[in-house]
Amino acid sequence: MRMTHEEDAIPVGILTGFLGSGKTTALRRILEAEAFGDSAVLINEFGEVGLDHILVGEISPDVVLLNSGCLCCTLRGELRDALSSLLTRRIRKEVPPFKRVIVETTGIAQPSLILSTVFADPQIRHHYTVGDVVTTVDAVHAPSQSRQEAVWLEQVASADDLLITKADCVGASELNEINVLLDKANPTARRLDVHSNAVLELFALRQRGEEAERAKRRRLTALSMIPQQPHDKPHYTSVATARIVATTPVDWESFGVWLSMLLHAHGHNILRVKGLLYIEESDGPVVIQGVQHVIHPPEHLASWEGLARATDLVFILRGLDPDLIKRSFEVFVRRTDN
Amino acid sequence: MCGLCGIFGERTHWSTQGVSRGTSRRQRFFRLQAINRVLSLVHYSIRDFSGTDYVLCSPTGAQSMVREMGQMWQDLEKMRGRPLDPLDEATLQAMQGRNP
Repeated sequence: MRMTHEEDAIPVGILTGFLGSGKTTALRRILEAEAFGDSAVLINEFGEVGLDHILVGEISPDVVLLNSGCLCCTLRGELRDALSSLLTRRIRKEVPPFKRVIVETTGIAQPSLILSTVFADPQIRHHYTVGDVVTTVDAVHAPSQSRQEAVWLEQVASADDLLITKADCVGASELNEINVLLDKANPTARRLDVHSNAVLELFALRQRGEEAERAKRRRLTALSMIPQQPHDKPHYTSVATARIVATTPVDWESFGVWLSMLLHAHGHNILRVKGLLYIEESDGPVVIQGVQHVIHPPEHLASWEGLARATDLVFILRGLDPDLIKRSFEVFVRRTDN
Repeated sequence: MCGLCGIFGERTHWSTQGVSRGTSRRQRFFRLQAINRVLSLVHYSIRDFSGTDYVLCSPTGAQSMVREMGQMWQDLEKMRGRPLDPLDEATLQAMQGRNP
């Protein structure tokens, strides 16, 4: 049976998180697991002397250190070259046939810019696909970082999985405060403690066939837990969540025009968009995922089994009015309902 | 290349990977319709060029060749001097006026 590109391509997972939030410690823990023996690792450090790759290199020999500088601003060409070189070495059997790549970013990187490298380059796109974005959240410093560092929010909002570190250094009330914070910043992401065994499920390889469908459904049902009208005011006023639910089918072309126009005008402040679309011509939902200006290639599920037949989209916004997003969707997209 | 209509693959933009409504040419027709509905709010238009590109036209006759939707919004912003904003009140009202 011929495999699709989605099944064939090597996933590039991104491990990000603010400075000192425990990315390297988390990476070491992940790589120690037997299941991760077939991973290649790219490490990007900000500073003249790389240290992280030495720590990780003890565990995983296939570590490439990207030169000093931040991957999201200056080294995107280098990321492309590193991914391309890994592939060549794999074909020449100079490295074992790795099944996934994990990129550890600097603490100040914007994940959306790294994602765009994988999507935009024709050669890279042909061989690799974007894997999960995992963001480490420092339980001790998260409240202050959320107030002071804009990139903290971008890293948290772009995550598929949030990895809470240093939770043993704070009390129950502080941990509760962090959960409230994360409810606002990224309600769709799974939250894991770095010490839990669930960490070993991070950066999971792409599942195939029915198994993949089931996994996607499990993640998507989490959307229904998000209130359409938040009960309380956001912890920090600039961040808000808009959830759009529509039970009548939408027109794909109108949606594409609207979302691409919206992202062109406001992408910097649309930290995350995630959800599913009910399109008349499609047997199952179309899964939409994006981080700021970058939208992943839409995924098609074979059926609606286990999911409510409706469009259900979540936007995490910075400084934008959720009601305005909903109204704009109504005006530009739902007009074709009739 | 589409075996039915002879169109080479378009440059990949996520919006071209949604649902299939027949041949590439037919799909492009629906896409052009949807884009023109919005562009007409500011008296711009877009037309197909050889099944692979688009020509964006301003009301004063200026033209720009674009490959996909992302580039189109950028060129529109350059030509107009500002982006077309779907959250702008005047734009929303103009669009709403067309959908009673």
